[in-house]
Amino acid sequence: MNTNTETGAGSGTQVTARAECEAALIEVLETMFFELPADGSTLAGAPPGAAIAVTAAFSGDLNGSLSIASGFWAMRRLAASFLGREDESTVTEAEIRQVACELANMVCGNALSRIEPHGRFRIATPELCMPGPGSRRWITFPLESGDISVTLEAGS
Amino acid sequence: MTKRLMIVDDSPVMRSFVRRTLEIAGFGIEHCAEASNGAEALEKLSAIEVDLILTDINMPVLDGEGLLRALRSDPELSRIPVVVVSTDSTDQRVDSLMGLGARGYLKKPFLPEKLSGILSGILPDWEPESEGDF
Repeated sequence: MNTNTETGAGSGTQVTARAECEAALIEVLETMFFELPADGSTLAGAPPGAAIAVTAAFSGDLNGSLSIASGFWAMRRLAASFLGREDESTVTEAEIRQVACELANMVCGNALSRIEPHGRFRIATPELCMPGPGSRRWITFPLESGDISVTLEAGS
Repeated sequence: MTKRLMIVDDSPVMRSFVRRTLEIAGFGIEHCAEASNGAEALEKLSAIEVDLILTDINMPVLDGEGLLRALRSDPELSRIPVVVVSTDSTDQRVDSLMGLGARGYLKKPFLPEKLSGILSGILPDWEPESEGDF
């Protein structure tokens, strides 16, 4: 099985992957970050201006990776919410990176459980990456302090 | 009533999140030890006593499954209730970990109320002292 977030090929799996990635991101943001994304995601190439990007590779019944990217201010705000800091300026860059990795880990696990509810996976420790140009399509949601994007590519 | 906890997770921000969630929910915490993997947890458990362990699964060095096996093989440590907190929540995985002795399983992301409910079931005398505001 091949699955990605790109639409247009008429594949039910591809459409489901986009829908499930969106649902996963929304659930994680609402539950753990107390952030409600605005309605209306967009699908496009690598997000411009992304200062932070993290990739979580996974293996098992599906193999591939999920990546998250956002601007610095959006991720700093998310990190502040996650850590319970009212003053965003107290959040260090290391903490922002750690929160971005945890966000990618949770979204990846959540998305995979939606795509393959009975599948077995192992998610590797998320790593910082560069959201360079490529064939991947990114789902982007507007947040109050900037955009956040997610993309997933997988195959059996 | 206060309890002594250990939170095992390779993500320091997740350890902080779990601890803060418990504090805001009103659980009295006498002491909260932290470890970044199962091996570090076992090392610390040789020197301190805890009433409850909350552990992630996917960790370097010694993962949560290895930690559960090690705890189960130790007569003293096997009495400590363990709650798994992880993104990995397939039925097979949950069954496997519960079979290794985990007393509860909490899938990330989670609502604070869900964590409170699991802990109240495992340690009934450890009730939140106040309703927190998240």
